[in-house]
Amino acid sequence: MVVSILKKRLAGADGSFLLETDVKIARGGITAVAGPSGSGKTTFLRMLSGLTSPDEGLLEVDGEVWFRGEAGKKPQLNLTPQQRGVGVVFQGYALFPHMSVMGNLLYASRNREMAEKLLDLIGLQQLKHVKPPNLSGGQKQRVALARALMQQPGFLLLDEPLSALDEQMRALLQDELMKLNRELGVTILIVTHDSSEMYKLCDRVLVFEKGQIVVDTSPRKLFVERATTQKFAFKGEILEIRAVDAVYVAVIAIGNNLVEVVIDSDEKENMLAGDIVVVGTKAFNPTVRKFGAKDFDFSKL
Amino acid sequence: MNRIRATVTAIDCNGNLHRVSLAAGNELITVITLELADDYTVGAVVYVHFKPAHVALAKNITGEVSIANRLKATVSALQKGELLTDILLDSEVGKFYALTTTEAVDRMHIVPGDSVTALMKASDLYLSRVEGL
Repeated sequence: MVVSILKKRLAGADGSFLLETDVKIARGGITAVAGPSGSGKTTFLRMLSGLTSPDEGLLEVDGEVWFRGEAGKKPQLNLTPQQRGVGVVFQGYALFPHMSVMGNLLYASRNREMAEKLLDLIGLQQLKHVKPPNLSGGQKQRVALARALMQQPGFLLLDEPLSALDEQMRALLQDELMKLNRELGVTILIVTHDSSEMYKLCDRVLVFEKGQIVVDTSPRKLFVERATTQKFAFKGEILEIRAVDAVYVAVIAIGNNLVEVVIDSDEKENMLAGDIVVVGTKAFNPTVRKFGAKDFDFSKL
Repeated sequence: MNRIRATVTAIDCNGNLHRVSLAAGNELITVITLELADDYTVGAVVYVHFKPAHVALAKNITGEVSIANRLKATVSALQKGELLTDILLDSEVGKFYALTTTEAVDRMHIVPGDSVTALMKASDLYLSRVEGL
């Protein structure tokens, strides 16, 4: 169990704000850390790993104090990142370019047996003698993940580790993270903006806003069990409204998808191109079929 | 989703709005859709898809109804839930399902063997090409 009651004043785009966490995280789960950029997510992770010092508060892990300090005073106790032994992977992987994959792992810990096991787990056994400049983005990220696990940390902190990868590689690494969580029992905190990633991977979502945790719930409660009959709703922007026959057709951009929606004259009255709208339908209406070769994958744009 | 095999008999359009007329046995089907791919032409064999929840049922229907698609069918089975009932229908164009409230089923005394009219709005139907044709 992690008990984090920490405070730190941060400089934001519109003045300084207080990052304040009062949260308990149980062992063994995967927790998503979400929220807009500059809301304190990364600083929260850095305070847990010991890379950033809080202004005041208490951090206790499995009954052991990692940080204790009062405002304006030198901390009474502040374990170094090495003493905490938390695994960290940030967005830009920092591998040693002149060392092989195996060399990078052994640099973190001389445990060759562990290195072999992790290479098996992440499917990079074949590439263990290759140097990072010859690896793809996804492979480098897997090596960074394996290296973070070399010291067998109880905690793995991931700051948008998958956001730079394509959909297929992301799905693969998501499966691997779940496997690592299950097989090594490592507790994971992951910064992500991807709702399907949260739903698939995480048992809990913490949403930060201006330094405060404003939502603390399960992904299912957050995304699916909302108090509305409109189950199928997406935020979009009207690009164009055309009159066709006796109806109007709105072209609406939803993420990278453009859809055409028939709207009636009453709806058309208060809609203009450029308006931000919610496109929705009841759970009974959408049709679901397997993605086929003829379907256009907008995520590839 | 229900699926009926049909042949395109006419295509009318205004802008990118299309009305596709189809024949399935002796039944006529009308579909209203926005974009229509180029390979939908008169004579093309296609599937008409529709969700069971978009099928309304009428018994002993008289008078005029605006709904474009009216298929004669026989009730062959009912799966009753507390609130909704899934009704399997048999017709000249094949078997398909209608999902309706159990309240309506009870009010209309719908039982297997009943003759009914299945009503589907033209804008609730979808089209797809039959592969290999």
